[in-house]
Amino acid sequence: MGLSMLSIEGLKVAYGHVEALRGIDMAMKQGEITAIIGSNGAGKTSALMAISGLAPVTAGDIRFEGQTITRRRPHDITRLGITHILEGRQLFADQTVEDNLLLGGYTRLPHNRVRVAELMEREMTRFPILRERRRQLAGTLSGGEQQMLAIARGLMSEPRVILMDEPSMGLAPLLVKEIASTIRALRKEGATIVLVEQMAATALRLADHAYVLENGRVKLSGTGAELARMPEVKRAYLGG
Amino acid sequence: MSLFFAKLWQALVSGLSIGSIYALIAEGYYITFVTTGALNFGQGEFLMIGALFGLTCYVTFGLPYAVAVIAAVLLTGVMGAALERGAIRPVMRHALSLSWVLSTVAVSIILKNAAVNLWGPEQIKFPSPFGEAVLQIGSAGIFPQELFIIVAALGTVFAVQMFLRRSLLGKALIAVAFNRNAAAVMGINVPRMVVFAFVLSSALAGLGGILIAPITFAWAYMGTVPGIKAFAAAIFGGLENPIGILIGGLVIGLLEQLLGMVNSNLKEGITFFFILIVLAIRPTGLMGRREITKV
Amino acid sequence: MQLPIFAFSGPKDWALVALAALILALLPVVFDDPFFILVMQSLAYLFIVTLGLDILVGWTGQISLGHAGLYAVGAYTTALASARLGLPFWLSAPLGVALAGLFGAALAVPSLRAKGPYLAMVTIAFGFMAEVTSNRWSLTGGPMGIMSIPPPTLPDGSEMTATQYFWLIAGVALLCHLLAANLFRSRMGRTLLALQGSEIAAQSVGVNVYRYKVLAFVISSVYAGIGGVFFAHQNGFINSDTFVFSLSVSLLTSALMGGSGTLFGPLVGSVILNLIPTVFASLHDYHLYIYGGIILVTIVFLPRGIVGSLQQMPALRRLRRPPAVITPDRSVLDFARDSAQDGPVLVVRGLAKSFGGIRALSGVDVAIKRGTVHGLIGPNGSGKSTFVNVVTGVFRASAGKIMLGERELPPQGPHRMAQHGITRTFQSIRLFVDLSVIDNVMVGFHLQLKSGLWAHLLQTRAAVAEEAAYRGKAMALLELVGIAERAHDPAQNLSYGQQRLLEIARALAARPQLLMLDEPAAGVNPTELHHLSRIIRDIKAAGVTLLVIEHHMELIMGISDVISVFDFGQKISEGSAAAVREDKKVIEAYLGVAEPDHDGAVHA
Repeated sequence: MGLSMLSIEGLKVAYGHVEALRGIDMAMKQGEITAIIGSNGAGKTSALMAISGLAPVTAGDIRFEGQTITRRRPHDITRLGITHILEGRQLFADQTVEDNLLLGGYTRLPHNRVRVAELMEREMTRFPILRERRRQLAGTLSGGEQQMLAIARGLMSEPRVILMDEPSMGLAPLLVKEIASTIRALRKEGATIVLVEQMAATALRLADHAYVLENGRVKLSGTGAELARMPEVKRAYLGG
Repeated sequence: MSLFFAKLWQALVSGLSIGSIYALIAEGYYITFVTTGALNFGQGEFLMIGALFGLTCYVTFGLPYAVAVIAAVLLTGVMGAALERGAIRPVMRHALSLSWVLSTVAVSIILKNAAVNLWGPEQIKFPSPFGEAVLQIGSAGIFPQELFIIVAALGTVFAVQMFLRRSLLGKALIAVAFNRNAAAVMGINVPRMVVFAFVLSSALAGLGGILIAPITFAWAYMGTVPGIKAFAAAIFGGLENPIGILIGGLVIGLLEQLLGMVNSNLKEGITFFFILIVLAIRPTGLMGRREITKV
Repeated sequence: MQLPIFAFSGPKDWALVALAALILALLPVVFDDPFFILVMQSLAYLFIVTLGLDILVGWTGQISLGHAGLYAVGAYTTALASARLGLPFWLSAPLGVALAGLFGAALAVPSLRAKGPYLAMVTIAFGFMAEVTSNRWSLTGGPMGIMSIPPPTLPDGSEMTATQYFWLIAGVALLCHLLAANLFRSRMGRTLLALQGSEIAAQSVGVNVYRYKVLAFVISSVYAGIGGVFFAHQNGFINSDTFVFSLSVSLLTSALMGGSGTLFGPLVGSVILNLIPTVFASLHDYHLYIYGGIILVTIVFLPRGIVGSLQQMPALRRLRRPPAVITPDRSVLDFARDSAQDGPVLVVRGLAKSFGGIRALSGVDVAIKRGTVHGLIGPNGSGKSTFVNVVTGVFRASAGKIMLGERELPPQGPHRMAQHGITRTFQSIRLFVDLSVIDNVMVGFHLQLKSGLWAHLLQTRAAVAEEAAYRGKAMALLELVGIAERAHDPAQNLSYGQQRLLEIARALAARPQLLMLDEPAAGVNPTELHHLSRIIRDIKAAGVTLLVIEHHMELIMGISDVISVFDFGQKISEGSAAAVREDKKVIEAYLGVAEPDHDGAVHA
């Protein structure tokens, strides 16, 4: 542990005239959970999308295990071992649960069907409800089930880095707890996790390290516990 | 009375055969529309190229019909890839959202000129591989080619749907259509899938051309009207609904042929009148997805 | 020179018009060749058609691939009326134009709600019906056509010479261009361009989108009809070969090639495209290659068209007239002061909304007191935006009542809600990107501006004065939100935060009783944030009631008199900032689950 898995330097992202990130630096250590918090529009999602190749990077560098991945195409980045569990699940709603998982393992297909079957088995063990619903269309699942499927689908590519965008969005408190324990379990399995959350309290509790974004810049950083104690964080995001 | 029924039978078979061609082309519109939001307004000219190139293979080179079909499908497929690179991809970034309408129309104009240069402006007879003999079923006379068209076109529509729903590549294409970003982070090469969508779509048009040529004629200007009518079929059913599109194609084919029994002028105009009424009532087609404005 | 009409135009404008008229008058005299004059006539009337098409396509953002049909209506009407009924040119011609306008209005009906390829289909279908009709109907003569259409006559009944006919067409073309230029610069052009930017934002300030689309269709069709009429009388013969799909394509290409949404684009485009067949006549076997190639190259490499691309060049941008200095009229916010009575401005009872099977809102009761700032918070997906969308008429409620004061409002569209004094800003910014900053605010005044179509077409003195007065008010609103110095920049060049402020200014222009701000602080930087809370207080002080959705706790707690908290489509709490902050349910829903096994520092 302790090695920098993912590092970001001077990253800028802009959509047309609108700058979403104005130069941020971050480092995500191997085996740790890094949380990114901030208000809507602060640039949290843009940061994840820049890492996974979905957002237009205008300046800066993103390194994965020392190798630069800036502006590489999203499908190549996935193949390198980074998975992105998108905000709002973004499942393939008109396809079955099984097909969603299958597509999650797309990087290994069509050559390694056996491995994909094993992985699918693993994910259905992690989330038994998915086994029950395997033939159902993803769009017919409940919110919590959809989030589980989104996570399972993301894990099908056997990633070393997991980018998670608001996994708790729209979920009832009990389900939020369940997702949180899943994230902890993934950390135990050795994954490096980058977690974007609006529920700042939950995120800071989970995180080894955290960044507060404001208007496209890093405003604060520190361990989860440190940030949770800072008055300005409490005032802005924790309602304290 | 029996004459009436004979005519009715003939109209039904002709309607189904022309309708299944519309459906075949329209499924091509569906595939590219759901993956890119664009479609090829020159689909009819790809049909024409399929017919004329097929004719050259079948008659001039004397190749078997099946080989000619494959050759036509391959050529139009490759042309589809070129279309995507040359006329779709460069304009999809533009602010003007319907640039692809004109860029694909431009390609179709160029293709027409090429066809006139290569095959001349005349209508050319395409001999049916099933012979010219009329099949007598009861009192009705039906061309065997018409029956073949129905079987081959509808069979292809069905096969394409099975491919999209069952095969890995098909599932990946549907995933790209549903959500590009999500598909990309699965590791799917989205730009390559988009090319593939245009290849598939164009190949379907090429197949339509070599199927229909024996009951019409093959010539440079044969494609425009079927292309537009197939577009009407796709719009009728809803561009995002493959079942609706199939029904749309058959309904329009039948409507034309049945009204053609009454009056040949009606036959030409009815499709368009019909589609205007449908769109006035249901702006996304009869079976299309209702649009929910996201604010 | 101050005329009662064309009041906007100064001496420089009139000098340009005079120069254009002089050139047009001299052209057939200098180049006195029958073929040349014929070509010039064709260019002039095709320009009129293209200009009309661009009002629909380039300004309003619609598409038409059936304009040949409208052109045909004008041509056949005047041809039949003059050749068969014996009407004189001066009667048959207006008849053709009027009928084309009527057909345009009819075509607008199926076009109103159809979008993208569906709209393309509507127009294609219309074009093909016109093509089939002209080809098959005995009245139109099909390919045999209508012979012996009488040539145009002078008022004294004698036949016009080709040169005189060119003067007539060119004169009408010049007039059509001037009228279009008036429209373009006025409220009408602005509103049509706004529709292209965002229909829903235009509705939110009271624009009846359907009415304006019909208007665009009718104007466009009238122009097409004028072109058709001139065409019919040019050679004395028309047949069905002219009115085909490829003519519609060619017209649309001319508009886009020249530069759609620019005043001179249609002129440049139609001249170039229509000269191609003449210039390349000797290359007959290849002219479709050239034609198709030109369309493709233009679309791919000049997406803004020739004029549009030139306008982007910095050297030419500097040549533009500097905008006039506008004195702000600060009385603009006075409207709300008189209405300061007690009682709620809006009461919502049992409001519910489902999408498919998903309940986004279920049984929400909210009362918003007049003159207050009402905060609305809750996690993402808790139904806050749906609430605003239902109240402003974007979505129709599945159940529940919306009452404005004492009066229950029937379900109705956003433009009607704006008339009732409810307007809003948008979470994902919806500006009119083709307009300048100040023009975005000017669209907001839609409901107060009184000058009608004719006043704007002719630029009457009253219309020009009204426009100037409201520019002053618009400037005051821009001052209020602190972006007055950007007034003449394109709206899309503003920063994210400034764009949000512009939305507020635009919404204020609609004189709202209740202004709903959907996440005004999202993406706004700390300096702007401070500024934003001051602006909200200023608006409240002026007497406007506000509902503010926000995630930024410091902001919302600071400005709100009352806060409602939503979770899973229900209101779970309501009260003062202090009360809401203490509410257990709120803490749990909004801040995450309280887990007793942890250090507790988090949810104090």
